[in-house]
Amino acid sequence: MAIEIRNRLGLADVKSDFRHIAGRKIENIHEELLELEAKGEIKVIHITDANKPIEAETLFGRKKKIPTTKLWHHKSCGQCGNIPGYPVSLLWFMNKFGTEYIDERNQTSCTAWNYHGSATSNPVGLAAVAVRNFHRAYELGLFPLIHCATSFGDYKEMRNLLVENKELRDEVRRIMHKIGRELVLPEEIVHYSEWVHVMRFEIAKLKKYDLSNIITTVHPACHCYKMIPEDCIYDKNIYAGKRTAVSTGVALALGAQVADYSTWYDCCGFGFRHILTEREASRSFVMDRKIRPMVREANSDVCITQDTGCTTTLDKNQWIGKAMGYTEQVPVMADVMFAALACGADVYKIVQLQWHTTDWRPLCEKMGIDWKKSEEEYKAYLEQLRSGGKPENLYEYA
Amino acid sequence: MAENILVIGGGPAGLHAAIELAELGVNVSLVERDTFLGGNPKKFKYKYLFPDLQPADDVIGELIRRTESNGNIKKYFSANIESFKEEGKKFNAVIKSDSGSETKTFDSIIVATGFEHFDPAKDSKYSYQLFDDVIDIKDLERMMGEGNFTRPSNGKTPKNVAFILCVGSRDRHVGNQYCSRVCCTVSVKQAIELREHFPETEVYIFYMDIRTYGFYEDLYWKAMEEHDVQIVKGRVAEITSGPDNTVICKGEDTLLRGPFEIPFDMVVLASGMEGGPQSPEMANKLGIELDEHGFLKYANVTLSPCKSNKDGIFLAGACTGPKAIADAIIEGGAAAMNAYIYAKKNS
Amino acid sequence: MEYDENGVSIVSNEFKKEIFEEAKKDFRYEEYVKGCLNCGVCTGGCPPHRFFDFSPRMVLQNCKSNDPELVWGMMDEYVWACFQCFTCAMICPFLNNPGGVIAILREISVRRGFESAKKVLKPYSRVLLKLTAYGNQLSPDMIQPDFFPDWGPHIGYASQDLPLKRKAIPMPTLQVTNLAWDVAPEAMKELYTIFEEAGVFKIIEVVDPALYEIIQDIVDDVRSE
Ligand SMILES: Cc1cc2nc3c(=O)[nH]c(=O)nc-3n(C[C@H](O)[C@H](O)[C@H](O)COP(=O)(O)OP(=O)(O)OC[C@H]3O[C@@H](n4cnc5c(N)ncnc54)[C@H](O)[C@@H]3O)c2cc1C
Ligand code: SF4
Ligand code: SF4
Ligand code: SF4
Repeated sequence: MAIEIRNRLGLADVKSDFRHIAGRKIENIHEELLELEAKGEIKVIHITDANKPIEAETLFGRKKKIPTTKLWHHKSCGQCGNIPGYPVSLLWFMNKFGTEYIDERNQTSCTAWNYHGSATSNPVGLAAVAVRNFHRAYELGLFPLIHCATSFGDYKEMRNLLVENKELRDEVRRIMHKIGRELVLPEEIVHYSEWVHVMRFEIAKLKKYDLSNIITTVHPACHCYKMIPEDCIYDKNIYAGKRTAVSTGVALALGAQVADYSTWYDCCGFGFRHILTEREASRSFVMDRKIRPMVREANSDVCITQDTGCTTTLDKNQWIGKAMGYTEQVPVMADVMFAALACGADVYKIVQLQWHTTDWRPLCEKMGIDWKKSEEEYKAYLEQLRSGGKPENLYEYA
Repeated sequence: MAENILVIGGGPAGLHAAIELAELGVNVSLVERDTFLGGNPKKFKYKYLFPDLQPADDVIGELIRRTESNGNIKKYFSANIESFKEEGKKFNAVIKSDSGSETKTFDSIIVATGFEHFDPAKDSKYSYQLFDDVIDIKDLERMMGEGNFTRPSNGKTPKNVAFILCVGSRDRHVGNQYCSRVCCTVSVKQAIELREHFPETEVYIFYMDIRTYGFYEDLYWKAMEEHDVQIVKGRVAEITSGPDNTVICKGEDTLLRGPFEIPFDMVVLASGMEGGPQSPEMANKLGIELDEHGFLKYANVTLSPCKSNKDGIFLAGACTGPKAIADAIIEGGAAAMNAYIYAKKNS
Repeated sequence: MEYDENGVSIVSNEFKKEIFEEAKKDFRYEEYVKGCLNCGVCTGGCPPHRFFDFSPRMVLQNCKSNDPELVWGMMDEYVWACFQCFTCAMICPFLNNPGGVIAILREISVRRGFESAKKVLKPYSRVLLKLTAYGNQLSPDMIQPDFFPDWGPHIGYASQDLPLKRKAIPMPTLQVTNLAWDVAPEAMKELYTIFEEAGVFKIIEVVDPALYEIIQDIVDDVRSE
């Protein structure tokens, strides 16, 4: 095994002079956005000093400002019902850093499942939903932070379509007026993993456990870096700037090893439709194209994700894989959950690994985390709640 | 009195133009930004040239020797045109070089500033710089030229090698829609060389179209017929790490296999040609036009391919677009004739 | 639509042409279908290509063929094979977007209520319902062992004592079981207006009339609250 993974380790640390170029017009969208604002056609949620932004370089060298505070959480409709530790871990870090944020009920899904899954929507509907949610953040004076990769991809695409299409703008504006809102677009579409990325050195300061013997494999989300790739973060010190830097960046900052594997670019097998009705295809994909290479080639202790659908697909399909002769298993969690574990967040109450299917206990043990103690405390907490105790929340809901 | 003509660029095109003019008795000033003559073939130590695999020294070395031995050619190294002014039909230029600054008046000018190799680091999908064993055709030329062809990762002879064509060409992601014309032939030539020197090494070429135009096609046939080079139709989509320190090329074989994933010991990217920073620099300095591909623009692509849009300034070689050495040399001669006629008329 | 003696619908050439024209009229079409080098980069990276008779290269070739027959040939299950991962769009040297074309063709299929679309969407009614009526998707109470038997016995653990376990999630918005988070009624009402105005409800009415009825009942309830 050691010989096999030799060329897989260390790749994430390769540095380069990083000179990607693009032939297509890319920066225009951001310029045009500001031009539209100047003409009074749209309103823009700007990233101001109050957001304490940190800059990161994108694929073609443009600097993207990532706001680090005054954020509005755009939750994921796939994540919250299924892997609650994902948003909770994020908020847990934000509390540690004193980040100002609002997590509220007045938010809808991006409904892009109706786009990629069932085709029961259309660009007007999708763009209007996007703008509705943006406007909600706008009226609160906050910047939207998108948790889900699909929402991130969809919102980037809708932003582009809106900037490039007057008819679409007019139609969406008309609908916004009907619900008492306006046509608003944020200066940047920002994914939570980008927040984690620019905060990774701050996060690493909170580290409690030594991760130097933990081998991680990263599964990047297609809708993050394949849709509108020019808006994604690349770093010349991570994978020589050849692959998107988020998630890998925080794992490296925490001192974990990141291993490459042959199917890094492959999707997770979610397929929107397939995860529900072509389960066989999803499952084979998960096992053949992701889990098996991660374990066999990279000897991975944990698979790090940055999206809801991927996390669910990769985690939930391993059990049945066993029946099909796939003995490889690897726990799956989002980068922010892995980081939270490393920084001493409670396995049950915060990282909420109890909802995950593939066994994560060996990982905790390897990290030196006493999950059994956590489990006991969680059970006691449940009993306390059962007998009418008050939940301990990360924030008070108004 | 003898005519004064300025030749900018000491590659095959510029050298040939300078030699022809010098033989006509013209005083030639040859301005080269590098410290040596011979252009890209010299810089990257090409060893054998397509189409006939003759030693590069027989061509490039010969051009350099003739230039060096000709007393009518004044050579400037580490040089550039510092300032430039038109005066009537003539041109005043300040040449700055390793031997100081010199102001001269010229009757006409030939621009032969050539091309730059596309830097594959500019396209993330090929993982150049990430994997040691991913190199490009200019790296391979240099390795073969220096006689040390081995895997950069471990110094061993590779079991198999993949060539990927059209890197940096015919791809809108990097802004180059054009075909670089020579990279198919260079790759086929290199594949043959590899097979000749390392018969144990399997060689694959992944292509979208094989453009070994004209007689260069002979090399393509030869590669298959005599050297068993595997020619696979399909552009490579991804390069990732494979077993036993290999790199995997993934793509679709659009004719035979469908999707493929093949581990290779080495990958050679057929990076194309670009106008480089020198083309816009020349355009700005001399007030001539740049085309939409980033090369210098002909006055008329068919009728007068050696003329710029400005009277008295002529173009030769790869500065106007990708081409082979023979074409660069032909253009050098044609530009010399044009420049000579112009100078004669006005002196 | 015309039918043959066995009651099987005959699709006329005019109709196929109409469908192709409808695709070409979509404002995204030109951006997604430019020209195709037949290079196979898209297909090389396409996940379902490994499992199904499906190839984004062929999607582009068919669209560029100007042959309504070839485009019509994709309007059945074919377009539903795509994972919508957009690997193709990221790497196509021509800057086409095969996955985007697929989305356009699917939308036509759904809008027109083609049998293939109805069949494909049937198993999704629960997700479609949550999304359209509540602006949400996978709710905790949907993850039940009988619905996801292949996800293993642990699903049973997660679904037991669900309200209590949800209450133990330290985000008040998440302390519900019937939704991923507790969506505010005013947000839902805004969503309904958007869906009405954008014609989204109408699309669902065409493709699944029974589901549409249920959604409308919920919409009425929420609106009258
Ligand atoms: C990998 C590779 C292998 C090839 N192999 C072959 C082969 O086998 N056979 C073949 O026929 N062709 C081959 N070619 C093509 C060949 O390299 C070109 O046709 C040839 O180099 C063109 O000559 P040139 O003089 O126009 O330009 P260049 O060779 O580029 O020379 C231009 C010269 O101008 C100088 N210069 C640039 N800017 C300035 C400036 N501002 N001021 C002063 N000087 C300047 C440069 O330093 C250089 O010396 C190959 C090309 C590649 C990419
Ligand atoms: S010569 Fe061949 S490799 Fe080079 S750009 Fe043209 S087709 Fe591609
Ligand atoms: S978007 Fe569809 S066609 Fe494109 S690569 Fe993904 S699955 Fe294939
Ligand atoms: S990648 Fe683009 S050009 Fe190549 S086959 Fe696919 S659609 Fe055609």
